[in-house]
Amino acid sequence: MLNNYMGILNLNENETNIISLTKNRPLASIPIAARYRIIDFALSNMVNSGLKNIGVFTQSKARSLVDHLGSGKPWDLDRRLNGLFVFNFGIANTSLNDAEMLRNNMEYLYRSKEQNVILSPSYMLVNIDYAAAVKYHEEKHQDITIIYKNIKTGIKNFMDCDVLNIDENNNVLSVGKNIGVYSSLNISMEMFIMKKDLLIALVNKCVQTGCYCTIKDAIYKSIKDLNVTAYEFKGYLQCINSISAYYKANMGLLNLKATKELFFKNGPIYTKIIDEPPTKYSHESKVKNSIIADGCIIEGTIENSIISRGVKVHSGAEIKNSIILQNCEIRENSKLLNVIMDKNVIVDKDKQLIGDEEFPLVIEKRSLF
Amino acid sequence: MLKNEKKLYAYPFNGYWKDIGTIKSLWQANMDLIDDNNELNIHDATWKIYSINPTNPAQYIGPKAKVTNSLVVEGCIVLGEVYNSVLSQGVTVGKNSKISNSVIMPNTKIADNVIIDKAIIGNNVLIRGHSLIGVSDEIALIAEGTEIKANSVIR
Repeated sequence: MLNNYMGILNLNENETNIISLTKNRPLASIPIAARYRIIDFALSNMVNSGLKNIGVFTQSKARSLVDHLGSGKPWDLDRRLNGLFVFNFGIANTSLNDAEMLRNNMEYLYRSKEQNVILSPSYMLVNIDYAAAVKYHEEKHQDITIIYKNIKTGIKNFMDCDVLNIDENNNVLSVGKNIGVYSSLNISMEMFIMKKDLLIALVNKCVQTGCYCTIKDAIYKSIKDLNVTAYEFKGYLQCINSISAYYKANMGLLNLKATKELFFKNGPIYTKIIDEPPTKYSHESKVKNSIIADGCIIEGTIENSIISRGVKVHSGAEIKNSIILQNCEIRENSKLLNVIMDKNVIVDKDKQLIGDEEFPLVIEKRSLF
Repeated sequence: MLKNEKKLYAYPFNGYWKDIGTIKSLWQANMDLIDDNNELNIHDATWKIYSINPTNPAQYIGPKAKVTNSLVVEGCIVLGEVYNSVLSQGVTVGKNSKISNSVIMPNTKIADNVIIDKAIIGNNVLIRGHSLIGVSDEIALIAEGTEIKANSVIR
């Protein structure tokens, strides 16, 4: 059924509230859950749903993303016919919006033989099979279907996310933003299903009139002229649009039920293969309620944390409620609490780095203490 | 070759070498890998040992778990105690279970309250609760795909 659908990963996410992790990489490339990058979920969802032609529209500083995606082999997109296409990674400035990026690469849309398109951002952490949403879309015969999730915790979660106002027939009336005032909300997952021709028309309208900042903007502001319907998704969802959301989403994975759904529900989440030896736990290591990647050497204490590949935790070191990215080294007797530590950081002996649950301490890439 | 009068030379190799043709040597080779001072250093980033990488999330060590002097990899979920052992991809260890001096092959599921000591457990084995395996001088061996009923004792 999804043979006539192509995928577009629209990496146009607002990085303002997560900038300490996106100085040298796009949001889609942020490492998460000890061995993945954020884009792995969106890309795996499309592949598991049966999409075989997927275009990734990045912004600048995309080196690590392009390196991670490669030719798409882990997602079985390393193909002669269709496969993975990555656009816009060479341009230095970031002033192009997603409509302009699509316009610059219109040939890709025209040459794709699929007549329908599923657009998705990368920062929605979810395991979804698009088949059900597409079935709904085809039965409803509307112009656009937006996938959303109804939540009851809007005051504290999904801050700044797009919110759909829906009538009793699931028609979308308008789109607002979650500012933490209401608890029950319909959070837009920013996943749009529509005919490719409509996408092309929207892109042209954006660029020609200059009235809209992004494709999302063009859709939301033209709701009255378009027939837009909403499809409800009921599974596990997180939106990684801020440091706080990133921290909470990782901590939320210290839960077997959540990880079972997120990593396996509608298909496995694939990622770039990196060979590492098993993780070695020493005689003194004390590890509780944590996710540990391969290639680590653990001699200290770790609690409620997520430890990525190749991390060395020396004897006497204590790491609590923290996220440690690849290849960091935490030397003897240092204490870390509520910390997000980017790659390659070496923490010398006897140091103390303490953040707060709501305001974790972010240590950027490659600092030296 | 010698019969055909070709020249054959011996090259003396000085590194770590082990023939793992017996149960005992296979078990010992795994135990050697846990040793920090093992001559065969699998943690050498400049000489990686490449292999298959199944699709699995990173290992999860539970709130009441205790993992010491062991090797654990992706796909493992450890809720019990693991000492001096090697857990392969996708192995799960239930609550209150105690695994020691053992080698567990991929995708084996060990339920709650199981004791395993000095054993090699094959892949895709299911060991139900309150069982006891090994705990003797001989290395216990469980073949791949076996299903061990609850409350079993295998020595």
